[in-house]
Amino acid sequence: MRYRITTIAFMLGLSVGSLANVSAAPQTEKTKDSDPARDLSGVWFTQGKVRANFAFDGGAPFLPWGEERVKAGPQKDTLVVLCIPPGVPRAWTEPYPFEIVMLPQRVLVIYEYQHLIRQIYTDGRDHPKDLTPTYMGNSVGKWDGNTLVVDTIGFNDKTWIDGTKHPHSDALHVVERIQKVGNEVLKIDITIDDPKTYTKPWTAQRVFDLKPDWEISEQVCEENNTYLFPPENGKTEK
Amino acid sequence: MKNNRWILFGFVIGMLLVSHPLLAHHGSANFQMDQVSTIKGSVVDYELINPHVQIYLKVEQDGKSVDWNVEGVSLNMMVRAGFKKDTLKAGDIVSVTGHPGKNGKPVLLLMKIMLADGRVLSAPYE
Repeated sequence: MRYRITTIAFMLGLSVGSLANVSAAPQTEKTKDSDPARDLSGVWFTQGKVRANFAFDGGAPFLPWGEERVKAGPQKDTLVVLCIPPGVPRAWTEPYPFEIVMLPQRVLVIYEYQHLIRQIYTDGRDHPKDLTPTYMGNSVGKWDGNTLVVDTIGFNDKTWIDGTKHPHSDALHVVERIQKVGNEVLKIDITIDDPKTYTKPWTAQRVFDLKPDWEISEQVCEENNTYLFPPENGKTEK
Repeated sequence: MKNNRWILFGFVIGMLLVSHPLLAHHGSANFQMDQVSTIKGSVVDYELINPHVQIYLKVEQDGKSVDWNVEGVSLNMMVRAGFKKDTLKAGDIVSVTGHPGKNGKPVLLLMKIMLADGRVLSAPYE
């Protein structure tokens, strides 16, 4: 009798013990973060027409009567040729590749153009309060399934939405939904919202091909730049 | 009140006029992007440089020797398209297709080039 009770108790002890072990054991199955569909890394280059006109892809909403914007005057024609950053989303329309680097708490986008680096914080943080306005804004990202949803604010008003002189204010708010389509295509759906300049938000899209044999090279915007360094005969680069 | 309406009208029309997609890239502003021409000549010089790779040709036209300037895109992108330091040498006979310059200027925005050895290299993007 004693022997049987001891055995049962022993078996119970084993069962309880193994349950405890199961809950304490590290997860061995694949976590969401290791899903290859969430690995956006690689060097990417625009599929199709390189230079985009975002405002016309979906039909830009009319500029409302904005007295302040008119008073501010048209922005300089040649800001990017003076090596000023293009801003977001215009950075996706330059004819150079970019590389995405996946880190545990950040996603880096290294644009070959002007060697710009965007940091997209994926550690759960919100945008800081009292942001100092910048050309490329402040970006935080969250996963929605296998889509990285990037929210960017904190822009200055010195860049254009795209290459066709569509202005924006410091109220610009850009949302980029970045996802892979298969293994070799990257799609970015962009929502552009600027309540100080446009009557409503609108969307545009960029599609990129993976370039497995490419590496991001040096790109020095100031080199042979006749806008920055006009030659003595006064001729600028076309 | 009436003046404000006219100012708004002018502003909107002005914005629409400058929002033409063809004005998007300053580099293509000097070329007729809706025209395509082909020229054949001998290489005088070849500069694998930024911001635009340059090829200089001598082309026989109507019994005269005309100096042509073919413009490519950035060094990085031209290298990716197969253009190397020794791809072109002075004296090479080449045939180039591209968008001609405005106002009859002897300039061409490169689309593709047939090299002396028969290989064809294309501009990396339109």
